[in-house]
Amino acid sequence: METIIKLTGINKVYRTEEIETQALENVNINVQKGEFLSVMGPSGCGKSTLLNIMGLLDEPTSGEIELCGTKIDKNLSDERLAEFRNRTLGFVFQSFHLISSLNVIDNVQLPLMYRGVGYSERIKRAKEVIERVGLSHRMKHTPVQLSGGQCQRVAIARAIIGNPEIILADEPTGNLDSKMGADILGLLKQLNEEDGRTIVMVTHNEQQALQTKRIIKFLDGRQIM
Amino acid sequence: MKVLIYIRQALAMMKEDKQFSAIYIAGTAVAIASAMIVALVLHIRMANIYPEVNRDRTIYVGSNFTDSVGARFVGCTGYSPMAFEEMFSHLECAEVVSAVISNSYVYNLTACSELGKQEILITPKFTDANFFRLYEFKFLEGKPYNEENLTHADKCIVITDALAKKLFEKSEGVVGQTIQLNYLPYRVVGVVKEVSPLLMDSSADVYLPYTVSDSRETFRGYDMVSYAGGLEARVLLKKGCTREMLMKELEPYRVKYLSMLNSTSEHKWSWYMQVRPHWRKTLNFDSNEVNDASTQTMLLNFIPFVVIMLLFLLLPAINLSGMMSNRMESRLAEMGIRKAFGAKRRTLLNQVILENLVLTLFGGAAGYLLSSLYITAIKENRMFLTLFDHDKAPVDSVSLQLDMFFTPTMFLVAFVCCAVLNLMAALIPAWNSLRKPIVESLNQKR
Repeated sequence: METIIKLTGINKVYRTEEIETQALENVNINVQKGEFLSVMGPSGCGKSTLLNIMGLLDEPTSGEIELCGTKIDKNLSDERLAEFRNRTLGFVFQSFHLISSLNVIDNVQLPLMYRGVGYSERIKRAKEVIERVGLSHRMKHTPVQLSGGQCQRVAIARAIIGNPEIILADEPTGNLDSKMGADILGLLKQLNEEDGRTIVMVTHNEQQALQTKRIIKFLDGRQIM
Repeated sequence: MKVLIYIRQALAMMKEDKQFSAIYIAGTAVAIASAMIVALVLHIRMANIYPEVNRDRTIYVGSNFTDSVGARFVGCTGYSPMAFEEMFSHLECAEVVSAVISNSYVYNLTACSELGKQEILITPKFTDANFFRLYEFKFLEGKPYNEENLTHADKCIVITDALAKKLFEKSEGVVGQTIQLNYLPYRVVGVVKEVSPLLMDSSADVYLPYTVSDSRETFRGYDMVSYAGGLEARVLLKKGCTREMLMKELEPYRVKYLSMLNSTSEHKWSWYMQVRPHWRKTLNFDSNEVNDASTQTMLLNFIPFVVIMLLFLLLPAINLSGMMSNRMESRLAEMGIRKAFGAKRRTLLNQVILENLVLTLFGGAAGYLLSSLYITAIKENRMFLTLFDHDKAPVDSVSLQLDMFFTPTMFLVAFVCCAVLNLMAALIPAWNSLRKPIVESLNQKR
């Protein structure tokens, strides 16, 4: 199996003038290509921090990150990091993080826009992925006109439109009722099983975690299982 | 297409946050209106505007002479009728040459429709008949005086419709009537559409043949030089001809008159002609040559316009920038999302500035209308319109037409003002906001 995410000796310390908080302590994780991994643990244990570091949204205080065989150099410029994120990673957030002033199709095509893909190609691919998440009839709607479940479907469409190797989902069902939550999890499983995408999902929900291929648990910034 | 999405988003955000948009647009409108009024003053001074529709081809020829031994004496003068005839009547590169008595020798006159009636103070201009070919006056009635009138010093005049209304309470049926100017009767031969007093080279209340002037200097000139006098030469160049070509044609006369000047005096003199296109004259750009001193003079005359325009833009920009900072705070999460999906900082900066430009352009359009309303509605207010007006006495009213205002140049100026204001207001808040780490942006309460 090919290792697609490799975290070695990751530490993350938040410092203020008065206090120092160790959010992650010597974390070592390998995620294989095509894996669906759940990260569990109580609030404040460092799950989201871990996901942010994996997704190059945050920098570790120390340690090494390797994604898709590329070692992420600390001195990499913002521009290169942005390019890397754009091509390799897709994000699904608990609170959807859709742009309220854009409609569904404009939200979904965002990653392709920053990749420099032409307008007609963007629209074509956006329509395909929106259809895949079952929202063809909502393309011109803005996020406020959609339900929570529909918003998360849009967010998933946005995460997969650029065909990234890795999808990072931070409590994707956290803001949804159980039926919608199950629905979204089903969609993520489908992406994992049918497309072979690697998914790392942070969740509180043990039942959902059990449906993924592997679970790791965190407590106080340390991996305990 | 990316641009279209940004514009669509900007419009959507305008609808979303109406209060912010309204205040921002109003602030921008006031700033642009103020700057546009200053720009308009400059535009009126420089552009082709009724009746000075050929400013780009009009050359003003004056002369300076100096005592070359330490420049103890410096003089500026025009030309005597004799010199004018000799120098300017056979120029090959001139389409029209007009003689006008220099403002230095002209004083206001009293005018009334008949003796005993109320007198008003008016501004005269003493010209030849070509004056009405050089400047394209709109004759509402009658026609200009001609060469014959000039030769015979006929007391015939052309007046503006505004003066006709003042004196006769009508602007039609005035031709043939008599007006008392300084208690002497003059016959009206034509009525022209009033010219804004800001167009100093062509505006007057009344136009008279220069031969009726009682200005002694006009004809006699200086005792020691027969070429000198009170006439200014204004040349409309033929299309394709240049100022340099005109200077070349005039050079032999300069040499001739300089030698005459030196033969009548114990001093050695130097003498040069000021051959200035309209824009150089407007900016008091005296020299014929572009050198450090002349550039400095030009800049000194130009800088006040630029400084005041920038101040009009800068002060509101500081307030708008504060508003933009707040807005960028509220858009932090959005910026975080965009960065998470691969947007580069530079791309986002361009986006924010473009979106803001849409808002600024709405304000700019409102400001443009506001300034044109100001100009048409408040004719009595001279504060802005006589800005930097060193040469002319205050005017009673200001006649401005909207066609002076709605021109491609003024649209361009308005757009540039908007772009500058937009950059001043949006650049720093956007840059500060985009420097924040992605995680901090994403965690911002939306």
